[in-house]
Amino acid sequence: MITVYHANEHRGSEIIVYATGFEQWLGDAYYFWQDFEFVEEWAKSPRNKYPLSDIYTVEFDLNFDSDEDVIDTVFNENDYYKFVERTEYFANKYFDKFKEKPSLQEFNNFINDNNFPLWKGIKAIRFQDLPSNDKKDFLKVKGFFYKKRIQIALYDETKLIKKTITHTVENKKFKNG
Amino acid sequence: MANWDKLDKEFYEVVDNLTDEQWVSWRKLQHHNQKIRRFQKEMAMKIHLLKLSFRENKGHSILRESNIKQIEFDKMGSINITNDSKKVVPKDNSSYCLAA
Repeated sequence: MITVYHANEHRGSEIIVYATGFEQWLGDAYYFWQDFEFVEEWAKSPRNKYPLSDIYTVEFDLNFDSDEDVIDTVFNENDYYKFVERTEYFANKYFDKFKEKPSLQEFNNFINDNNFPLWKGIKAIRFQDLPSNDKKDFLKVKGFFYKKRIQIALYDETKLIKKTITHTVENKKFKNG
Repeated sequence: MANWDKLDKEFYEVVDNLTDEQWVSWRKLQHHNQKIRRFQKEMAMKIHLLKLSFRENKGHSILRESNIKQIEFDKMGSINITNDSKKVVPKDNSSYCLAA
């Protein structure tokens, strides 16, 4: 069981969005942050492309049947190196064919393509980057990016257990809308 | 930990056995889908702004300026934009999204 957070603009009764854009790291999926401080930062961040909307942050539990359901590139060493190896294998093949690097979307589409169900059986991938700067209250040591920004891409919504709406960033301009 | 014996078998079987034609065809499809998605996203943003504007009673002016009266999406990304003034339908099944 993993507790995670999802932030989204207000859109009626819909509290979670299945992301299908081409900027997602890990393909079409439900995306979550593992730590509340990062979801809160994201919800308030200028990266939010719908700045005039209320933002809801919802807490979920993800309930997996087995460790084999998840590629855990954050905490499992073998999963991490296998994931890297596979990514680069695909990228090298692509480069051999087209003499340029594949885009992020091409990688993800290839992995998730209905014709090539290479993630078959995988319910989620845990991934991370690092905070992009140290002007964050949650980084307690100046210039040291010691906290992982952990995200989870979930491909199987049946693994979701909604807990609570834990936070709302309310846009006062439209609070009665 | 994922079952890499199983995943690797499937992965390398596919990657190593694609023909050049399959690679090219697959890539063309990706580029086509990307254009559709980009357009969907732009339209979704317009719909979103329209909704907000309507809430401020300014929607009529945006509609007039944009000359778009109807926007429809289906789940596979087909898009229909008309100037039919009888219908003003932000029928919003689109995939506009915010990551996590």
